[in-house]
Amino acid sequence: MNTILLQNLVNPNVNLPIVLPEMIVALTGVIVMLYDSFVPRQRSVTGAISLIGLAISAFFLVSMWNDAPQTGWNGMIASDGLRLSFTIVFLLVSAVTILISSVWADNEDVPIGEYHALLLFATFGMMFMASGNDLVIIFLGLETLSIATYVMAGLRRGDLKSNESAMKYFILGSFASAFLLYGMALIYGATGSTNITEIALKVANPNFPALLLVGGAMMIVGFGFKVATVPFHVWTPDVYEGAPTPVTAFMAVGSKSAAFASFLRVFVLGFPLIAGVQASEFLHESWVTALSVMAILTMTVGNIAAILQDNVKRMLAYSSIAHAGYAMVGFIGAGMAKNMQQRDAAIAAVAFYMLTYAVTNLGAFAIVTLLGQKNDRRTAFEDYNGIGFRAPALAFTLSLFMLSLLGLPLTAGFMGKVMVFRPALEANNLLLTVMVIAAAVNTAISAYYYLRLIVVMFFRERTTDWLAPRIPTALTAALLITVLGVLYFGIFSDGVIEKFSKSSVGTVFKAGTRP
Amino acid sequence: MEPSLASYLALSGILFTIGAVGVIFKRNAIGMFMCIELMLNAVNLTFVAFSRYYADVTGQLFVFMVMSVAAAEAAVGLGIIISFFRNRVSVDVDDASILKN
Amino acid sequence: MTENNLLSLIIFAPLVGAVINWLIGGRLKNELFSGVVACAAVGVSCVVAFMIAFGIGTPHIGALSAPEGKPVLDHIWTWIQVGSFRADFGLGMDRLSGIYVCFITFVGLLIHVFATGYMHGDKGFYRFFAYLNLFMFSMLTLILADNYLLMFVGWEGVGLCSYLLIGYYIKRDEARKAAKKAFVMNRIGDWGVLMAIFLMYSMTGSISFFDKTVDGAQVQSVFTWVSQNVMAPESFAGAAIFAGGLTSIAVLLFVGATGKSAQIPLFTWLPDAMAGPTPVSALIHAATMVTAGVYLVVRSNAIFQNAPTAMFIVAIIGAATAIFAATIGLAQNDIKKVLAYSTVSQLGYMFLACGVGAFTAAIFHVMTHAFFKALLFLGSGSVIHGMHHEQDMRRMGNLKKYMPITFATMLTGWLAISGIPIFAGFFSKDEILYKTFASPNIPEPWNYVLWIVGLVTAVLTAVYMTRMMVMTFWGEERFHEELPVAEHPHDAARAEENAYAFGDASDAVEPHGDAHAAAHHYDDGHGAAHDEHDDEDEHHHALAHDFKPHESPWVMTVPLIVLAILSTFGGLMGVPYALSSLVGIKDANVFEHTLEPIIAKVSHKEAGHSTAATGEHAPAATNAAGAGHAASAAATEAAHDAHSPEEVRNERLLAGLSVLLAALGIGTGWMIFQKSPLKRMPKILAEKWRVDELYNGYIVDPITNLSRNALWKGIDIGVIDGIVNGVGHFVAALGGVARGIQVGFVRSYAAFILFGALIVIGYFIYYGFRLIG
Repeated sequence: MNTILLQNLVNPNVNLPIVLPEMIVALTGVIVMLYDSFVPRQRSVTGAISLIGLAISAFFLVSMWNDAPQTGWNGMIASDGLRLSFTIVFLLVSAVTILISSVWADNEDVPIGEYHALLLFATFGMMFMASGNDLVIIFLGLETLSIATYVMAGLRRGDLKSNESAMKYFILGSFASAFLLYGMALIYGATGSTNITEIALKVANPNFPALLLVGGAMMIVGFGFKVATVPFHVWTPDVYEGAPTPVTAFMAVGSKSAAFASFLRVFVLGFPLIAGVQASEFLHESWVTALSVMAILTMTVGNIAAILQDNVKRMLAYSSIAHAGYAMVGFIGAGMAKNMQQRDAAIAAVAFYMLTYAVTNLGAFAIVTLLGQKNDRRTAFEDYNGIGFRAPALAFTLSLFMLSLLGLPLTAGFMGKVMVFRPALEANNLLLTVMVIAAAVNTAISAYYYLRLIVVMFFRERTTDWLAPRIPTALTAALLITVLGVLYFGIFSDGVIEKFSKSSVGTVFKAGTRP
Repeated sequence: MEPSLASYLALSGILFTIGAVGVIFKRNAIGMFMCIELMLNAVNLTFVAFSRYYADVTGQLFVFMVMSVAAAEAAVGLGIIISFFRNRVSVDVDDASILKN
Repeated sequence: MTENNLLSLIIFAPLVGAVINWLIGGRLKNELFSGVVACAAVGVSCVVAFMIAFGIGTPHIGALSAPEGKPVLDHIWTWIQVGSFRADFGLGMDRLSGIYVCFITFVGLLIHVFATGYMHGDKGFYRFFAYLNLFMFSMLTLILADNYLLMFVGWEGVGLCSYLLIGYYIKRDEARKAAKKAFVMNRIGDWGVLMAIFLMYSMTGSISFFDKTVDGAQVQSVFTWVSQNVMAPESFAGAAIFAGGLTSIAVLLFVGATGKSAQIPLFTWLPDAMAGPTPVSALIHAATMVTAGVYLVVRSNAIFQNAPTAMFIVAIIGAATAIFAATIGLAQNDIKKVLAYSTVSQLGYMFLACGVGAFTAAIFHVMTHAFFKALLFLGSGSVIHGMHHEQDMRRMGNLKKYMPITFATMLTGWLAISGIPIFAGFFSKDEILYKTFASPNIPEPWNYVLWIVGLVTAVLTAVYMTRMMVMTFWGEERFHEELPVAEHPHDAARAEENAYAFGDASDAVEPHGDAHAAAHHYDDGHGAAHDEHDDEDEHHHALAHDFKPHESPWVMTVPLIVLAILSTFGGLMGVPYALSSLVGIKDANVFEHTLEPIIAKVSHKEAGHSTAATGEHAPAATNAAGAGHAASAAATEAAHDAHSPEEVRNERLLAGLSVLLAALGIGTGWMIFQKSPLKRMPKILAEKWRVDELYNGYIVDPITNLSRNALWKGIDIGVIDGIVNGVGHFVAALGGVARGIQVGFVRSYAAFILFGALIVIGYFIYYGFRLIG
């Protein structure tokens, strides 16, 4: 032990380039913050700087794409399929969010520089959540993300709703973080390590098997909160409704994907099934079962509650809960994979699902932002009455996003669903099959409220005056990206999936049948 | 006699529970936040206890991270609470209930 | 394997038409332009479809005559390929899809031409044709897809277009509600199809229709898998439905078919869908989309034949729907409603045919039905057009004087659907009835029961069609007839209620307001004075006193004439041996021989009743659709040998009987309705057996209430607050900390999270204890 430590001190395995994308985003954040403090009343400079930073980061990320899975920083950072595919999703989300926010920034007096800096720091946190191969890094990434989003949710300082949203998110978020942290502490206690690769090795022979289980449970609470699974979803609708719409979009898509990335890393790669070892078997069985039940509940509660909403933002919030449930189907499929290839394919499927969900949902939120006007005043279903033929471009685009959320074939949403359901079906397990059936039933239920928006737009009379808003350039760009994304991922998804299907760092895999 | 690992764990568990229950029963936003801090510190205790048990610095390192994160969280949290107070002249979280259903 | 890239032209031509109409037509607002573009797009599809189907000008033999039913394929791109899961965006035309594509594009073309006349003067002319072309694109994708997933794309697409077109008159409440109802019911069916595809993939590892080689990879079709791995049909038992095997797949597919093809219990959307423009009713709700369910079942015949339970269900549902819808059709006064119920009833026939194993007869009926039903619908459209958008037959009469061409063409449609020999409907319907009677895979008394049901339906069909014809074309002119008022606003209000229950939940909050509005709306349409002219609306306006109906322009009558010719002679493609031998022709059943290779060969006589235990039939069940067939010549010969004198005699007798009954039906109808065309029909029939009310009362309302009251209030207010209150009380009682329990929401949420955490942790601790102890 000591010799290894010493060796590390003399010749540390740092591998700096591995965190280059993260560093660039952080640096851009700092630059934006500094620029903003010297030139405070600027409108679009920080946005442009942020976009450039994100693009450079993406460039370095893509240039790493063909490297073999590797670790750096003494095993704390992993660069593998999971990291690369999720990180590219984060960068995309962040960039599109900046484009969407321009509308909001124009309408209201928002400290735009601060906002961009926060967004970049949040992105930085998310990136570490995907690349962290150590509980410390994951915790830091998660907190960086959370703290930035707490502020972003409350950025509309004078608005009661925004205030309340930030307050609720802050209190409940840190409450859930405490659970996550406790879980991490117990896992550390049970295995003697915080490194996920080492934890995976140690699961076969933990020092305190019972603590391992309790720790796992606590971490489910923490991550479950972030991805908004029932019963830890309660904060979602309120916070999403109250936060400014672009921030909601970012939270619904970005935070959720980031949480999935860490969730996958810790549970699928950290708690593998090792045949013949009781502790590992119990841990695996209990988390798979618990998450399956949670997934079914999540989909159902999200969808049923969404039906009854009269506010589009709130409806989308519940829909995001339901989508977390669908993504969990793929997650559990990854947990039940029979070999490494299947596992990595399932992880790629979840990443792909988040990508499809990201383009779809960001697009939908972009339009909600535009139509919401100042302070998101116009977000009720009534406000969408009859706009179909007055602003056909917007209405048809929004309809496309709704159909993609619903999962109509040839849209991204459909491909995402196919991808995540497949691993669960391949597991040939009763519980997982039931889960897929529940997901299919839920998809049918969800038609009701997604189509309702389309119906409202095209088949309702407008009672009040309404002028189609001018679509600003930045928003046009955002819509173009998302529409093309929805269609491209729906029709030619093959290439993307192939790119995502890279092997992960986790090497512990001894397939076995469950007792 | 030096207390055993189990007693440290028990203490931290009790502190954590007190914190969690406190979050539910405190109405004052600052009070709730303090309870959350209590939960975090309970966790720190666990980390330190295990760190000592394994004679491994990782746990203590983790504690440093948690403390700095908690400080950042406090800064942001208090900012949010102040902003809330300015709008409502109250720090009672029960007043924050216009978003529901 | 034959490749032909022209195949994609069939589906993409209408798509291009739709896009042009949407982008350019929307700006030009020129009816001629939009009409020509739309018709030309479908015309291209039609020409290419016939070229490939019959091998005209193509380097390969036509798809309809290719040996062993080998398909013509066109791989457009690889859509999904992950692990063993593969779905291509690829098209395939074999004999089944070839027949479908030919009649769909041809009938579709005629209906497009007709619509240019019918929709003349409509503001949304270009929009209408864009939708119509989009529909053709989806429908052709559905039919030409070479795997289940792509077929499902088309399946959803036609649903969507149908939704858009039913709700085309967006200002009419009725149309919007009908559109929603159609969509909701179709979603239920879609769920079935999707589940079936899941199950199929997990069982067979494939979702392809054809064996093929793509990018060097061998793709095995579902049906080949079935023929190689399923040695004997599954047992005939209710349990098989839930066993997760072929029977489950078949039942789920049939759930999808009931939704799309309006069978019991999902049939109520189709009559409501008549709120759309009449050409839409003709194209989508009579000739093409609604027969997609039959296509699905026939395409999957290899699966169905191995699932006798599912076959039995299909037969029963089909027969029940046939007779049920026919009785309702007797009592409708709206000319389109009569035709709608008649369509439901005829679709029932097709499923009956599938259920008894007569897949070729089912397809044959699909085709003839497309001819005569499209004819009848277009004829009714012509009548409605001539009557200035009056649809109520009680206000018609003696139209033969004013609309001679429409009358003459509809006459052939009437005779065809009633089952008078020579006309198309006779041969197909008669074949279904005979095959039902002689079905080898329906247990003994049931085939007779189904046959009798079919016969009774045939009589009823003749009666209600005669009623429709008599009320419309004969008798005295009743253009200004005062209708009994009492039932009307009532009807409208009820229709409204039905619709909203299937519509969105928010509507349900203010039913009174809505129903009121609808009743009012109705008055608008039928009231005496109504001067505001709204040409986006198809509403009837009070007729002037000197009103005279007029014959429709040639763009409308020409399609009618073509369809009339097809309805008259189209049936001659499939004259069964027993009848053709009467005039000395040995082998006139071209249709059946064309389809033979795509019907899987499964020996079902033994399998139907005796369980799989006997095992003697196992070797027989080997040949299947896409697989290596036995030489088709041999199969044809075998078919010839099957004409035993006794069977031929039976078939002739039964045919004679059905002619007699059809004549009886027409006679009865004539006798009754010629005398009193306004005869009151039984109330329960006019009210459609109150099925909508039943659904609303027992299914829709309880679900709405449950989600509104129980789940909503229960979870959010009951559970969360309850927990907090409960915990609060508990602590208060214990510690004496008596504080007013003012539950704030943040704390409720925290409590809920904690509660959830305790459950999760508790569950894990349970395992922890098992681990330790």
